Amino acid sequence: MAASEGSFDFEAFFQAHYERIARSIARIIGDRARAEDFAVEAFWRLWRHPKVQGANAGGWVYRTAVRLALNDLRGDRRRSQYEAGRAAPQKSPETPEQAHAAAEERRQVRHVLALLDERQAELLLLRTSGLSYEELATAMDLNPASVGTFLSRAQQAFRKEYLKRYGEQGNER
Amino acid sequence: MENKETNVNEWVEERLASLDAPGTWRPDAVRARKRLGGRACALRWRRWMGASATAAAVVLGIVVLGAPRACATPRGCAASLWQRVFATEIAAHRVASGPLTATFKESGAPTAPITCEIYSDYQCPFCAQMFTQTVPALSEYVKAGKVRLVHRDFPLSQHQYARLAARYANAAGLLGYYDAVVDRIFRTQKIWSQDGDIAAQLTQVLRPDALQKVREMADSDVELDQIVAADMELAAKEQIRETPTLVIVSRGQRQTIAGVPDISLLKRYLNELLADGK
Repeated sequence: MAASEGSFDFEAFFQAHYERIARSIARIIGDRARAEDFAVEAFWRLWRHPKVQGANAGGWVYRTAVRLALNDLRGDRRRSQYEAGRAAPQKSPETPEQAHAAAEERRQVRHVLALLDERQAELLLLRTSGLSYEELATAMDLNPASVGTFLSRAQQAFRKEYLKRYGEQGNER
Repeated sequence: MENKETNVNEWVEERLASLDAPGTWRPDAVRARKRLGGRACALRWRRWMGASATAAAVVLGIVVLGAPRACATPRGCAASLWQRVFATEIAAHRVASGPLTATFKESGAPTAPITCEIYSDYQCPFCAQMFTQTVPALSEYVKAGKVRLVHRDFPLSQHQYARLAARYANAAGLLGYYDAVVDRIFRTQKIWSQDGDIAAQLTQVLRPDALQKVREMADSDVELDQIVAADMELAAKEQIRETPTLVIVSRGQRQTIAGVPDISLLKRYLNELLADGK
């Protein structure tokens, strides 16, 4: 499987981004095996779309991956069961109480992300995946000068939804 | 104002940081690269060998549009898919003469001009999509005696409980409950994928005594490994590298389609094969 386009080195791109993208998806859905499935799917779609291979490929494949993960998060009608029983690959808290609190917070964050406007959720997750404003603008098809505004709105929407659902209690760690 | 925005920013980042995975996990890039390579090879081969221009166009379309459009959550299926699709075959769910002839995995008329072999992994989200969307769409062909469906196991190594799920499904198949259990396993994929407790998800489709038997067989019956091994052996010969993969066999020609095919294009392709065979 070589590069599909002369100027684009798919191999190098894959090696540079695969692990980071798989980790980003795992953060969202909390399931490593599925995260790898979705990461492969995202790269496959990139490979099948020569038009997006180039300088903007990074943003495109990150957004595709995040979208697959968010779809997975939203599509689950048994979300509460799914996440309650989920042994997510997370930090190892010191006590059972801390473990429970951390798991609960992850569940809440995922729930809010699933409820949020799709573009806002994507923007937040892409930003926390480490994309720069410039990369965000490309990936989300935004004016670079507007990224900060959109991001701020997305953060406010996230906070509002989170507090509406869980109140300040959810703020306790 | 700026201070307030900074606070919101920090607050949100703090919440999202709770999702962070530890740095110790390294996604397997080598395996992922092989999976991508396998897809690319299969695609090139299909392009190269197309039997006719039309058929090639249709197959290419199946592949192009085959990418899943959403997550693979089973939804909206009130009745057992396999029951709906393979209603006439339920009584025949017995292994006839050894692991290579697990007839409970086959449905449709043995004389059907087309055989569709589906290689799947019970923990693969796209396989769940395949079994909740594509397989039911083929029911009209199966009932009309035009297509014979064969379900083959291809548990991927990265899916911790896929092989166990196959054991449960095949144990249920040996006891005559294959269709209901396969359906249930795919429907509840996300739940049991967390802890491997497949039995807990089967209580809704199996009586307690039947569930007990299935569980005992899944725990210890070596024949179940042979059933999976036979499928894996066939997969190796077919050079299957990912799931789901559909192998369409017609008049001695085998066409491999990786991923979830677009249903309308798949039907067009089957119709063309059937028309060519007349």
